Amino acid sequence: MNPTPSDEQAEFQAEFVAFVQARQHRLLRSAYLMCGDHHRAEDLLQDALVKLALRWRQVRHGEPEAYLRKIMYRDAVSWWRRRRRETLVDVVPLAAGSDSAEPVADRVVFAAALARLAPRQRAVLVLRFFDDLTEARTAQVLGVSVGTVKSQTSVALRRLRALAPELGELLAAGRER
Amino acid sequence: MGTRELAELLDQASADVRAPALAEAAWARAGRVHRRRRIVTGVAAAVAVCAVAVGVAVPLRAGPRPHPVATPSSSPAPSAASPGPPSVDQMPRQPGRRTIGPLPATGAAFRPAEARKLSQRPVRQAVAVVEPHSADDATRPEPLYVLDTDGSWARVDVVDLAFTRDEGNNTADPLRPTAVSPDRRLVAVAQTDELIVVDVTTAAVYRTPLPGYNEQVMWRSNDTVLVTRDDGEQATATFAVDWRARTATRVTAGLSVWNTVVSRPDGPVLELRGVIGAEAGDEPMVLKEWQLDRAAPVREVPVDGRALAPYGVDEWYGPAVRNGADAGGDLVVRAGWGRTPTRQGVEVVAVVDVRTGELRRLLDLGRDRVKGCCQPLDWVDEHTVLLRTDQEGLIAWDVSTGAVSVVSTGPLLGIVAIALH
Repeated sequence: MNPTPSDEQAEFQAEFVAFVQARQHRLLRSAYLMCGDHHRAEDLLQDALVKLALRWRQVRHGEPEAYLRKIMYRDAVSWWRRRRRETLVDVVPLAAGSDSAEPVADRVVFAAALARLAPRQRAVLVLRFFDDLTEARTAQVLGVSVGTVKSQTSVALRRLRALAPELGELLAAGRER
Repeated sequence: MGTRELAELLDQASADVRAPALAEAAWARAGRVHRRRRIVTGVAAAVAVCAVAVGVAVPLRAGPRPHPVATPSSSPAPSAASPGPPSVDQMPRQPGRRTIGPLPATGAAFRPAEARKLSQRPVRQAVAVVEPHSADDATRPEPLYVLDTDGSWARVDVVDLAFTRDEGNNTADPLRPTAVSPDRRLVAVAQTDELIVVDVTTAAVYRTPLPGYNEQVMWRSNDTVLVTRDDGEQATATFAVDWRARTATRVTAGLSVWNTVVSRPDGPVLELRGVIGAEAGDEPMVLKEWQLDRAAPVREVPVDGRALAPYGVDEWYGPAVRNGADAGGDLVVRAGWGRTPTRQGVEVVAVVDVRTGELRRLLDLGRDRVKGCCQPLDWVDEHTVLLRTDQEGLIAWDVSTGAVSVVSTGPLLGIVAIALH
């Protein structure tokens, strides 16, 4: 007996839910690294999931994760662009040369410095080093060339080092090799 | 050390993020969006539209007592010139109706079933210009439609538009809510590498070369269009385009059309920008007045939200409109993300006093809406602003009384520019 439309819909829903449940925590962490804000991150992922659900029938046998990342990262970059670019000032150095005697946890310093990067630089770092994507896949997600990914990675690391000299040794590790 | 250390820093920075449970809600929300699309495209009658977002309440710390909330009447209010004392309005559950001719009575009618070609018969003046939403996988935007003063529609068949894009390859619809000239004869549309102006009273097209990723337009006068270009890396450049001479001059003022308020031609250009309560490095919320040939603003006033606290606006988005003859009045209305005593990330529309920077009135639209849901489009009269919202369609909000009435019922699926006067 052929499945009815409602059977098919239930099957799609079950697939989608299983797909999302297996990835949502990691994706939310990626979104948070992009936004630096828990609520915005959840909004960002939720919006991307809705768009994925609307096209689930078409993309379920393709690369739904790549599709989802593409939506989420491009939305994140768009949002930050619209918010940040109006400031019309460049990145402000964060405590560079600070002589504070109080030790600051690496993660706090790193998070603050990450938040000061241009949105696409942040996206490149998260995709490359948190999501562990290759340069080519990162380029696909962001809709840019591999050359742009390379250059943005290099610039992002340089800026991170300038913004958070306390992490110099750690961030030196990220130099392009 | 290798790239592993950087991965570890990223891992640590996001370690506190808890596992969400979004799958079922996303599927359900997609189902509602899907049904809504079917309803809207298939039925032009009254449409009951459910909220499209699954909002998550964000508890705030206990703050001061809530500001008294006005419960506006649903009928149009008597005339008054003042915005009244600072107050907060909620969307009434059943707002009254108001007719503003020749605007259609339903949002669905903004995608006209019948429209003549502009080239065959131009319009007298443009009351509205619409770019209906295109399919997700569309490679070109839908054509523009112009609403004439007699209520008829014309399809702009004299130019093929493309989606705009920014330096990061994010695409956008070409029509902006600020596209119509003060005399309502011209429609300006930014395109990559050029500005297009269509004279809708003659169907003539004027193209001005303007290299770059142009996205935002705003009329400075009937002769000049301000265009803001995305230069990437958070940078923008703004140009004054003389569409008749087909020349573009970069303006000295450090303003962006993203935040610029439609202002009268002989006055300074007003800009409402910045965020409130943001982290260090963000620009505070301010009103700025610019002369285009001066690098620094001629006046700058902080936006003062104390009178409405704990309600407020955290961040602006979308167009801003100023009341008065030739947009020279004392009030500016803009939408944004705001906060209430119990939630943040709430969609609001706010009235700002140009002279003092004071937040005078706020319309709380709630959180269960799509991002960027709501836009002020034009002033109906000195104290009533026309808003487009994702659920109600077009509404008129009287900022002197708080009265809200529906002008066009149901969602309006497209970009729209309105010019009532």
